[in-house]
Amino acid sequence: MSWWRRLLKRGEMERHLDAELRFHFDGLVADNIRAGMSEPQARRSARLEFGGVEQVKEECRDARGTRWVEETVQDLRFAVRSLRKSPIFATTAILILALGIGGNTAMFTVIRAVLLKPLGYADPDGLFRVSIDDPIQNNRDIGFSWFHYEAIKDAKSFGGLGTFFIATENMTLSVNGEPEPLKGARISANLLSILGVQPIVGRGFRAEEDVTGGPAVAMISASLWRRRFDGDPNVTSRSMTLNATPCIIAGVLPDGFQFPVRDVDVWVPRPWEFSAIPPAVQPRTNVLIGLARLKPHFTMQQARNELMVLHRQYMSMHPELGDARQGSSMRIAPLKEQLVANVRSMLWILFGAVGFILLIACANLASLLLARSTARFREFAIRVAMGASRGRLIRHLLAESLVLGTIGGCFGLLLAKWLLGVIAHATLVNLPRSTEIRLDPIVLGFSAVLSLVTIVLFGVIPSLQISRSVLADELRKGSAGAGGGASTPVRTLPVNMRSLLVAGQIALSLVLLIGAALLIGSFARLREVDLGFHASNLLTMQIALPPARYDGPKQRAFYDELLHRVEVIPGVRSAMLARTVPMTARYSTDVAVVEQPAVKRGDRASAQLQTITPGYLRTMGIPLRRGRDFTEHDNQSAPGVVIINESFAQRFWPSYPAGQDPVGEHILAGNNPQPMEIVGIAADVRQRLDADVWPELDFPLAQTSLQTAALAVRADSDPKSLVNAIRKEVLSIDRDQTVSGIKTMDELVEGTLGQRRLTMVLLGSFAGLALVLAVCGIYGVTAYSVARRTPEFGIRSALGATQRDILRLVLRQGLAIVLVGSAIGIGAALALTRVMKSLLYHVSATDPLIFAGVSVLFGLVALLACYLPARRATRINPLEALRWE
Amino acid sequence: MTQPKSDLPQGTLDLLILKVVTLGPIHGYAIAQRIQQISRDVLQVQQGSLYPALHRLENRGLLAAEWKDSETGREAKFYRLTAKGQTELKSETESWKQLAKAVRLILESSEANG
Repeated sequence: MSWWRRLLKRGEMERHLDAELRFHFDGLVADNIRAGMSEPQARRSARLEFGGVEQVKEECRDARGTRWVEETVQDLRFAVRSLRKSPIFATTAILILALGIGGNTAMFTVIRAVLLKPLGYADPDGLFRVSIDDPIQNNRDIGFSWFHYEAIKDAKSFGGLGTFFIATENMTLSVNGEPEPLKGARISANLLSILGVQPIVGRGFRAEEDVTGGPAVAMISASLWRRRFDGDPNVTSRSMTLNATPCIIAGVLPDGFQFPVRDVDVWVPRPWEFSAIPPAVQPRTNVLIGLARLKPHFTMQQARNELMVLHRQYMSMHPELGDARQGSSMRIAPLKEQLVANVRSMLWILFGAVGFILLIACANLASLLLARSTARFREFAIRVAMGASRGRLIRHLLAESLVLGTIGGCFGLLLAKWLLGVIAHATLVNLPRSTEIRLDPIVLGFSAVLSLVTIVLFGVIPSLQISRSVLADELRKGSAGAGGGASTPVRTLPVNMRSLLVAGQIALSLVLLIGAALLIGSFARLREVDLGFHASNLLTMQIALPPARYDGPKQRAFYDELLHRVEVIPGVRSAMLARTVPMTARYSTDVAVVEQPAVKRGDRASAQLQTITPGYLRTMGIPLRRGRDFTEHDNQSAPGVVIINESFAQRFWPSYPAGQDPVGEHILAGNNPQPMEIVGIAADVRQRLDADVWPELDFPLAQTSLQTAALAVRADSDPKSLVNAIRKEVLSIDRDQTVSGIKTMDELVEGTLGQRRLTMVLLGSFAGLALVLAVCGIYGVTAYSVARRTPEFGIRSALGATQRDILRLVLRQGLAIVLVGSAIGIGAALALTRVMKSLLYHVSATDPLIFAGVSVLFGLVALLACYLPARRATRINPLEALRWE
Repeated sequence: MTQPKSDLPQGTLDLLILKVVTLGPIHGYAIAQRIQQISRDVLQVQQGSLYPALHRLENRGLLAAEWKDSETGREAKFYRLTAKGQTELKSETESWKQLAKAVRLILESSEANG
């Protein structure tokens, strides 16, 4: 009979065994009768000769070789039964485990998808991102111009160097007359082949489509293809209208292709043709980022050196251009690194934090199991007395851990799935590669291994401890000749072990608490930052006028008409149009003051470029410090005027607000040779909460052209209620014109804080969880020791110890654990919070106030956790306590 | 009933069982009796070792078992030698003989010296 059959046909095997032995027994009886015994005598004699039937059966069962499986099943069943008998313990343990494993699995999944997995391109390690560093202007990783690209694109270190527009653009797509706003990207024709991506339908861009004046052609995403073209395989023969221009569909890109960012639906060639910039200056505007594939056997350093040589040649050829400034250099970095640079430290810190949580959970579970095992000491002693071996006892406790671990792991997986859903849909955080986050076999393996490791950590240690002490005890009581056995007080070991575990939990949770407090402190500082404008009740949206339908005069007519119509919508207090609104994009130009000594083009300072309508300052709530606001008279026929911000004033008139008045002076900006008069100085406005204010230069919209504008409306109450009315006004001017990016200013501000907020909330919840677990640990170990020392306290109080004496006795023990744990925790935090530096804002990583405050608060909570059981100790009635033993 | 009992060295019982079973299908009770008879009551097999040994041999594929009617008309489990069992018996007998020879040599030589 095979092993499997023996395992599965257990009932049959047992029946046969029984029949076989009975046959033998009956044979003995019959023989005895034949030898002349009476039947009862014959039976008795046979029974004597036969010996213990059960022992024989046991040995026969052993011979089957299926024993360990049966025993394991038995152990598991027993474990489930005994866990069901203590539902509170089981629920607590499973909950703790699920939290630990769930958190870790979720974070691991995110980290794997975002940081560890290779990019979904062919040979992703050969891909590099190329950009410009300009340390003198305090600019890092900024774009270059098309001219610059022409100068470096044939670098010999690269198998190919492509380029793409630094941001995405709002484009309007019309298929069969239905306009729809989309996210569009501009890429060079060779970019797809450098990435190694093939279109699933049609073809990629051709080189002749990548020159000024080339045909209107686009590639679309697979999701757009299915949504708007029903997945038509002949989509390349159909046409669509992109930004009011008929456009050829070259091909469809595969699902999951998200370059340069996610949710892009349309790609067009000629990356420099950003519609917000006048065509004449497009090739010299620094809006391009390079993407290169390194040739085999070339190193990044070689490529950097070559790029620097080309960059220097370019600088001497075009000293007037913004990407040829003195001191600027080329930056090259692996594409993957660059892609995740913003989130890397945040993710690792969070992963570390959930790791801490898991350790705390393990320690907590271990002490929970220790306490439970100690409480079951008698049960174990009885089982040992009944013949259970130490191995069997350990197996038993392990089985309990295994059951807990498996159930906890399953719940953890569910929790992870839920958490991942939350993270993937966290719209406030722009997590790169977030579409790649999913639970796959490797992640499942990770959480299985994690569960197993956890089980070993929290299950084996206590079971070894307890079995050793049970056996030692047994030895002491039992066989006298065992030479005294273990004379060490093994039974007290679990207490020390528990103290150690609790101290560890305290240390870990203190690190998390301090980390969270540092983030919260940073966040609070950020919250106090004065934006420079009123963010509430402000609605913003983007309007991209297609160049094909709107040239200069038509643009201005549209904007005028729009503002007039929007301003009279009930509930609108004021409205304005601007190039950008704070918290979104930022454009810059180089500037010089005419009245000051002349500076070479390449050495000029740069300033943020803004274009506004006269309502801008009023609508945003920005105070005018000096001079005047723009009026309707500042138009094409009037002399050029600008408003500067105070940072600008301080940059060029260092003694501002004293000294020479900037108002009335003149400015040169970018390529425009016409000086413009400064007519006003506005207060500073922050572009990001956590970034310094830039010098800013505002032009009147009526004197410039603007293809893409932001419309902002100050509402009386809820600004979202105005969305439909505004959209209707836009459509009534031009029924093909869409608006996009509709957000309140509050949402935009939150968006810039999204990542910080997420990190803070997650780390804060982790720390809170750790605190709860650690406090439970302290409480548990103190309560346990009080329970064990009840008779002692009884004797003490019988001998005259006051309640205060006993209170002090118990608190001292608890306090010792807390102090040791806190000391380790503070030390570890001092070493570890340094890695958080990039996440902090105006808070030192070793801020003494935060360290001290958190430690003291934590100590107080810990003390309270000790105090509750200690107070119980003082209430012990000596008489009852003595009777108790 | 107070026969001098001899403890069997480890592994010997298996060899004896295999030998007894070569005579034809036989049930456990008969095996015990046969060993006792042949050894003239010197070897008495305890049920406590016989049945585990039988089951072990069966699981190792050296014996095969089937249930059929015994001489008394009751169903009993009859063991018979498999081909694998035969080979095993042969090699075990060989090594047993060698062992016995070696032990005798040593015992005799020490007698001579003593």
